Amino acid sequence: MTSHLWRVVAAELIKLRSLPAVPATVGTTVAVTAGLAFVAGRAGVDSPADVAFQVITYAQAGFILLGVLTVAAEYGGGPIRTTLAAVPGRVALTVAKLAAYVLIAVPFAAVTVVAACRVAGRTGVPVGATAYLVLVGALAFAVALLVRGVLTALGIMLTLAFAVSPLLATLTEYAAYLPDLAGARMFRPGPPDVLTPGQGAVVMAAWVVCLLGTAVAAFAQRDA
Amino acid sequence: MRVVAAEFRKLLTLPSALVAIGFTVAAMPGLAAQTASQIAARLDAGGPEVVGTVSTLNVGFYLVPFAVIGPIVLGIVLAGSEYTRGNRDTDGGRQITASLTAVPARGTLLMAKASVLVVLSGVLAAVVVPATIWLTQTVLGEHGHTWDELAGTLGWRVAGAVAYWVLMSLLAFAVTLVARSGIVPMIFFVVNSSMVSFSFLLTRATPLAKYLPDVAGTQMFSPDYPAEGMLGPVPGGLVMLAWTAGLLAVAALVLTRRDA
Repeated sequence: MTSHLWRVVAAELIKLRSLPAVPATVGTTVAVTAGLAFVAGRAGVDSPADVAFQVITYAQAGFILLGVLTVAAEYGGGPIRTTLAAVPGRVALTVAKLAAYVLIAVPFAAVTVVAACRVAGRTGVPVGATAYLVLVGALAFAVALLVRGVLTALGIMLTLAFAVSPLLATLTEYAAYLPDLAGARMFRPGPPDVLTPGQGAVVMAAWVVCLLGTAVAAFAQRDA
Repeated sequence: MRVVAAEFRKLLTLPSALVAIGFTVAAMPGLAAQTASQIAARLDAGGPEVVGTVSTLNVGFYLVPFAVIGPIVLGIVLAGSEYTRGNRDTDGGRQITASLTAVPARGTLLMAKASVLVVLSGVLAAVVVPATIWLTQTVLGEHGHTWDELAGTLGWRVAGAVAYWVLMSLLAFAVTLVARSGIVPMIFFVVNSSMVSFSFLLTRATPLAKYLPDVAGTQMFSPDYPAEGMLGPVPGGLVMLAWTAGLLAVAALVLTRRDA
């Protein structure tokens, strides 16, 4: 059984590697992050730390896309049926997909964060930012498993991360408990300081676990 | 006309399009009313009349550049849904092949889609923007402004906001048609409509950034754009119109020339 799960993870990794969109996402995200850090740093308006945080906030779009693609790429054209014929255990399949995502996302996040900080001229690399990027992609993974469509999942996650959260944050301090804003406390101090970095990490992880649980329950119950 | 009717039906039966419309209709007035009630509470307590950069005058208006995400998503799904692969029940086929079988004249198809988008995002803007202004002024109550005051400061800006939403949705539509996939346009346009956009970042790096379509178009309605040396409302609108026309022309050229 254990070797079986490893083979499923290996298969998922091959799928991700051979999906042209995945290397494109990784490459583009790192390049755009470094480019933005260069442009914003040259403008010299913000401190290097602010520039790094700002471009990392943009870079989360790449991780959201990676999380969504890991799941939802299978729903266009119907490879999901082939996949389920090969691996009927839906929980095992989700675990393997998530593992494959994490195996790619962790080095991807580390490179992105290091690139952002180096180019912006910030010394030291916040590990919290790396954890945040991996987690935000895991959240997108769960949303994609629930809605089963690349564009729909992408629209929901991007609107949350780039429009709804920042706007709600100006209105109510409870917005600090939204998954992305709570997680962002791991690398970005924010006024008013409702959560510590540790608490922020826990809140975001709780969101990810709950959504993943719901998504896996739905995936196990319904027709593919 | 029948092609336009068909495109209306196709768009309005897409769940993503309905979500985008619902999000715009609910979120913009809702968030703005919430801000207005905070300003009113602060004024009652004798505080300042601004929350951040939001005042009693522009509270109905400050969400225009963010809520444009709704029309943008409409433009993207209108084009992108044609190119999404179906499931095995449809042999993994894409809707564009069926659409082009039904309407072989590709220019006509493009015109019909663009008309549907102009009408929908135009109506959406013309309803949501004034409704938000009315709602926030009602919430402000005694701290609100008279209609004459509002018409004096916001009057033409409402028309500018409507034009901005329509042109933005057309831009997203044109880019998606060229890309034949909604993924990249979705990321680019939604992220760019966020609190601090790429284009805004570029205005700090180069003065040429004022000619970018969204930066130029924002001048049609923004009373307090946070950068110096921007174009005026009319030149800004014309620059955005030129970008839109240019990108639609490119989309038309590619759509008519290449294999679907």
